[in-house]
Amino acid sequence: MISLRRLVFANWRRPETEASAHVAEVYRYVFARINHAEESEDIAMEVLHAATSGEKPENVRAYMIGIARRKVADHFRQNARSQPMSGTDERFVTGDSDEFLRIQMVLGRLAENYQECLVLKYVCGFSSEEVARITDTTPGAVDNTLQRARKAFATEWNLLNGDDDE
Amino acid sequence: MVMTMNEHQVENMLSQHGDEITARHKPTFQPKRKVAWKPILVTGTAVVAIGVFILLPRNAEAARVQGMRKALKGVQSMEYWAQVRYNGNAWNDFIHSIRQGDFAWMRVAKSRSLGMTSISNQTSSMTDWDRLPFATIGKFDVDDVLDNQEDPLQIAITSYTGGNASEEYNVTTFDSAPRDNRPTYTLSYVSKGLPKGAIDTSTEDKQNFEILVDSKTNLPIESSYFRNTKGVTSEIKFQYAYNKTYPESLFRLETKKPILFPETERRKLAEKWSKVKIDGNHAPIYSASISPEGTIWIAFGVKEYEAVSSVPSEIVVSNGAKYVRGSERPYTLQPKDSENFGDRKDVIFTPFIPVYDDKSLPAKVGIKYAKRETYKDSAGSDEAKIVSVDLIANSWNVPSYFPSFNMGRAILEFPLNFWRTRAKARQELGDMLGAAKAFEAEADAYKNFVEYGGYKPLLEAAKCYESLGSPEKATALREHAAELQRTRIR
Repeated sequence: MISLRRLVFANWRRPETEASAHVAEVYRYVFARINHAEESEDIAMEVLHAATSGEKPENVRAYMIGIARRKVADHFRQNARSQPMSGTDERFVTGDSDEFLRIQMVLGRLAENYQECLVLKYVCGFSSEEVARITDTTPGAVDNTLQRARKAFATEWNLLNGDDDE
Repeated sequence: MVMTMNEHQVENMLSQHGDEITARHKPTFQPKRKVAWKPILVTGTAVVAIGVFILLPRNAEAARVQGMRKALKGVQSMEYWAQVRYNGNAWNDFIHSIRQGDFAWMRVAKSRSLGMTSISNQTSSMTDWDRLPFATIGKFDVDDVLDNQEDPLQIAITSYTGGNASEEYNVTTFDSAPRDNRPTYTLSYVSKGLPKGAIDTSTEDKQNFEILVDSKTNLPIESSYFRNTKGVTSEIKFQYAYNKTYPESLFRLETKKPILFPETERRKLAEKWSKVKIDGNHAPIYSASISPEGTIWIAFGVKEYEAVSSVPSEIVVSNGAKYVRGSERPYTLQPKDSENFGDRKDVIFTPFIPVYDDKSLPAKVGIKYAKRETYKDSAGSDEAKIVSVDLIANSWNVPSYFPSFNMGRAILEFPLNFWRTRAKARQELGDMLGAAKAFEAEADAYKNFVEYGGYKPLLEAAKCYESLGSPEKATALREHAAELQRTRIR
């Protein structure tokens, strides 16, 4: 069965717009934030639609991520969750080998601003200046948040995987 | 094996993670066939009909999950106990947690040899490792601690799934036997396929969990998780209690041990260390100390931990004792840290470990510089600079300033690094017996950490004995290692 989602994704490929070139990055951002493949695709699709239906912005990539941020926030509100992907004591969930899921878990346990900075900077590869523009703050504040976020990530990682140290 | 991470490894890990996200879901972005609209329109009605049929049970499940979420949001307090066991061995307690209101939180994490209690209130947080002779109190940071780790909603619903139960599991619900004369229902999550990480499709790898819920209150009573991966079974069970009133004393930051305040201590150190004269591009030495077992610790400052710079790389001592560099520990100043170390953002703590115990402890050390990145094993390129420094005596195997940099766990972990570094250095020198002894000592040190982790050094020791022509000794060590792996004693 071909899903409606697949239909729309198929349309992304024609015509090849600048916006469609950034869909994968949008998806990457959204998935890292919400950890759900299908919903990430839906949101990425909505972002593409929004980005191509209005006036072309100066920086399409950053503009699309900005839309994605709002959609992610909406997603969390609709799901009535106080914290994105937060959780606890999942250390036994993934066994010893699946780093991918562990990273998603650890990201999910961080404060939202930490998650966002880490995802934008490292997962999506934006510069501090770009992250600052997207999050409406200064590059210095981004770097400060990143410092804290890296530390928090490492702390959470070690807590999550705590007793597995060998 | 899951590595212990420091904050400097986060960047690389997340960059690779970004690539992995798109790699894992690539097919969705690359439709393989041209879409034929007509057949889809023709079959649309049938699809909708089937969809309605499929959605009905999912709605029942969703309604119950929603009910549980709503109930959990209304609780005034939540307490839970968690136990774990591997391969059907005895159950072990590992978490006991109580949260009352928004800002009172007590959590005890346990393993057989490594336990930690943390207590937080509105302003501060105390960390107390069982095996350390002190506790530390720091500022309470809601972002860092409470909100991220103690959300009762997530504990009950998604603690096993990383946040998205529906992603990997088929969820069903059914009425269960009454518990204490109260009606209950169960939410059952069964993995759709092999658990992530499973590699052997011929085994019965699987994972699932169940939450037993009080039908009247919609609050979870208990939950259980099972996983079988690569022949190792992991089970974990939680029990929950709600809306009890706990005495305030439970959340007081009190302990019988001496309490240290890292922020205050760090500020004092920063004041002292920021005055250390900087010689050109060479990293300033903040402290040089020696521990009773002979480890020499050098603390120095760098501007950027990622950059190659001239930093301490080797040491020489007058009595000719051989030293090797062990794993370095970094500390990056945080924005909330009020202190500063001049123009240095990172402080690096480098242990130099004596390969043997055959010499007396030196009083001075010559520190040789090399241009290299810190945290890496590379020797770098030697610099002409050598400085001679008097050594301060430590009373522990780590410097007394370690707690000031929140390195409680690092203190507990150091014996493992010490013996591993020694063992490898002896191996390189061709001293296989000495290496074997050091690997055995490392395995022994694991008894004070996570006991089963000792299986790896035992296997290394076995290899050494084999090369020495002692197959019986090697076999005995391998059997011991296998036993540790089987029982996974923590």
